[in-house]
Amino acid sequence: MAHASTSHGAVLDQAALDQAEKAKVSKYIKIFWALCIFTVAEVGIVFFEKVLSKLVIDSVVILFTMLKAGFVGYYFMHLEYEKRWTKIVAVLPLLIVGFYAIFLMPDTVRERPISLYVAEPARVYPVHEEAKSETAAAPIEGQFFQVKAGEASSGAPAGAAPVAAPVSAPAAGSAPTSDNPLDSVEAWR
Amino acid sequence: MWVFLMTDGLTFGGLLLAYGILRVRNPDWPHPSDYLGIGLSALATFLLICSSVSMVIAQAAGEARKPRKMLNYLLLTALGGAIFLGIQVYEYIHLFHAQGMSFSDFMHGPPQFSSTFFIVTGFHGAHVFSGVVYLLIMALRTAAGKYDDGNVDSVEVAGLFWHFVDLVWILVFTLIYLL
Repeated sequence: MAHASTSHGAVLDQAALDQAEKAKVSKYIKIFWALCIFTVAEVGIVFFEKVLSKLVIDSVVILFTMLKAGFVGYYFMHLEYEKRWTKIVAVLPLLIVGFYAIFLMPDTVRERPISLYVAEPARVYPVHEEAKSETAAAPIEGQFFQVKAGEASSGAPAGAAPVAAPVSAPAAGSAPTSDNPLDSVEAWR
Repeated sequence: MWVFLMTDGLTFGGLLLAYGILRVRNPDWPHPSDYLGIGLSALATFLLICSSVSMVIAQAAGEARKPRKMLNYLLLTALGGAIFLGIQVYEYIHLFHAQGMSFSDFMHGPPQFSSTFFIVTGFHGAHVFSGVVYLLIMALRTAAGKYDDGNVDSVEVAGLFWHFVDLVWILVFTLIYLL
């Protein structure tokens, strides 16, 4: 909105206003042609899927799209005249969504959809499989000993061991019978 | 307006991310151009670009104290948006009947193909509709002589919204139709 000050405030004759309008419109028409050419190129290249690889086509299409979006934002939305903070506000959603997309990348891998979340309980199953058979009727000391024995293999801190045993004991009852953690991943899905 | 557009951009970003993840994780996802008409939506894209251009021309005319010309170009812009909506309605009806797509199900593939398409384009269509209403209000105010002095800042704010709708469609067209 900063550039609007040319049209009011200062005393300007109509000829100068016409001149300014003409210059703006001729610039806008140039941008219009650029947008048209990029659109035609985008749609056109999609039909070359027999010749070009999918990766090349998609990269070109995304590049052209970003250029077009940039043209609209920079020239039509007058970002070229705006203050710095307005520019920052304008690109902020792109940055946020971009970071979000990067963090979601592991979820988009089809072969290994969820790794961190499910692998953790899967790793402690063997300890509690042992514990279940012996500690169900065993006294407190026996349970405590059992967990400490398992602790050496799982590497858990000593303070967490007494807490972990009662909490995850019910989970052990419903745990998958297989030792392969990937099987539990499939069951979870 | 810029702050509102930022939040709106985040909403669209969330929808498009959800679409992307559903699509990438689904091996049965169909090739969009097999079911969606690229030619028609390319025409709609062209129409929105034209209406963006007529919007900036309207604003330039208003700054040059030509409210009559600004009114005409504002109406032209709103007309472009209205035709876009008409094309979208036609496209929806065609997809319902010819391609077996409903809001929640898809006859030839995963239902997410249908639901993501309709939620993204539908949300954008709602923006086009409110943009057309916004432009018509600005046209009425222009006709009432509110911008005769060349101070068209509020028209520019309306233009910002309209260009944003165009910008989002440029992205949606690529992500939903072309990729």
